Amino acid sequence: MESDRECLDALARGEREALVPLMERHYQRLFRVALAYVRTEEEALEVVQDAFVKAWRGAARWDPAGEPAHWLTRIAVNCAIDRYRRQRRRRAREEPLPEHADHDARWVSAGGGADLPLREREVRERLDRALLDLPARQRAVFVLRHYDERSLDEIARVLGLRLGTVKSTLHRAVTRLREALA
Amino acid sequence: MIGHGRWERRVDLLAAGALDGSERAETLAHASSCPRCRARRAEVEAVLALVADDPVRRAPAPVPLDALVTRVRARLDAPVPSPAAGRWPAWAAAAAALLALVALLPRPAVVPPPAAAEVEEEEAAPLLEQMERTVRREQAARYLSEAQDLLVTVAGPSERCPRREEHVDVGEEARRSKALLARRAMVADLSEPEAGGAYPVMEEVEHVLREVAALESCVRRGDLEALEREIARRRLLIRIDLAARELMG
Repeated sequence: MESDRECLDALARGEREALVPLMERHYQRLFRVALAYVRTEEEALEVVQDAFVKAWRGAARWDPAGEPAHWLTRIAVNCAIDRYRRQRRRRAREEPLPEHADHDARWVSAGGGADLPLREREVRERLDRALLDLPARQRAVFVLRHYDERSLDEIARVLGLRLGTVKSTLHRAVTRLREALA
Repeated sequence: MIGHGRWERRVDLLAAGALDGSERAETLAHASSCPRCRARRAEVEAVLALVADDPVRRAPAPVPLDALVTRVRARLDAPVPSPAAGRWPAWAAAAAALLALVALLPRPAVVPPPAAAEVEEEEAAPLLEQMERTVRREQAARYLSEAQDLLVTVAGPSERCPRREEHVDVGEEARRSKALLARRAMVADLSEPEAGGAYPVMEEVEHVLREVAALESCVRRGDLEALEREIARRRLLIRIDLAARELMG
């Protein structure tokens, strides 16, 4: 089977079928990253589709010095951030903010996990609220560290941030989650 | 000598598995002798144990690979809007239409009889005015829509200010407000009768944008919450939506 690099080269030459092995290898992982970020299965699936469509359209701009998996992850994270923001904006338009409301609570109530056992559903709901309350960059760094098991170096390369920024962002995310969940 | 705040930061990173080498060893040694840091480490580890239990980590993809491939292919095969329609703002499209119209107008003879030239100008003037009015209304609708995006961001979760407890960073929002207020001056040509019901909304948006623009980059969370309540009290987000729709006809 062609390597990820060969697939990206083929995509850059306009060979669309090279997307299939990439999807085969990265679908499940990118889906979980997206799900950890947007917290609903439907949206996460849309994010993954967006990401592969963008990979096809942007393959010519892929820098061969980088890792294909990092590049795909970055696209998926950006798609997750965009999709989440669009959804939040749409919800805000449909329904004005009630006073003192937690803006994302309505997103959580529309979230997934309804078919899970009670204990798992409770865990999921608590995490939904706490994670959705994190600003975009903190959530992206935390998800890559604790759901995608990336090292800080890898996160810096995936998100195009300095290592120090990744550390301080992770620290802020952890502090905020500790306050929300501990 | 490391201040205790910095030990806490290190302890958080230690629990998150983000320290190594001498930093890790020093932090482990400190945490073993400091009850406060030990308790903090235990708290962070409990949170991360909850994350490790998150069912999301084991969630199977909701559709099989074949279905994903089919969906992505369908997206790639879907007709893409022409670059002109996708990228050009409506006012540019209107301007292009105007140019095309002018090009199609009957060309005057080399020395047109004065009466014929006046007739052409008289016919073109109302059309031109109407197009200019449309452009002004569309600019105002875009301005409102961007202001709405900004206010949603203000009402959403913000980054904390490093080193200032209970403060949040709104520097980016203040900068964007200033840029939008500059844009507001450009759509000032839209008169009250032309803007109709959108006019009071534009006035209120301008008022709130001025408040955001006047914020320092680090503000107390309470101040921001007061602003959020003000946005909610005025029902500004939904009214912007209605006003933008009215402007777009």
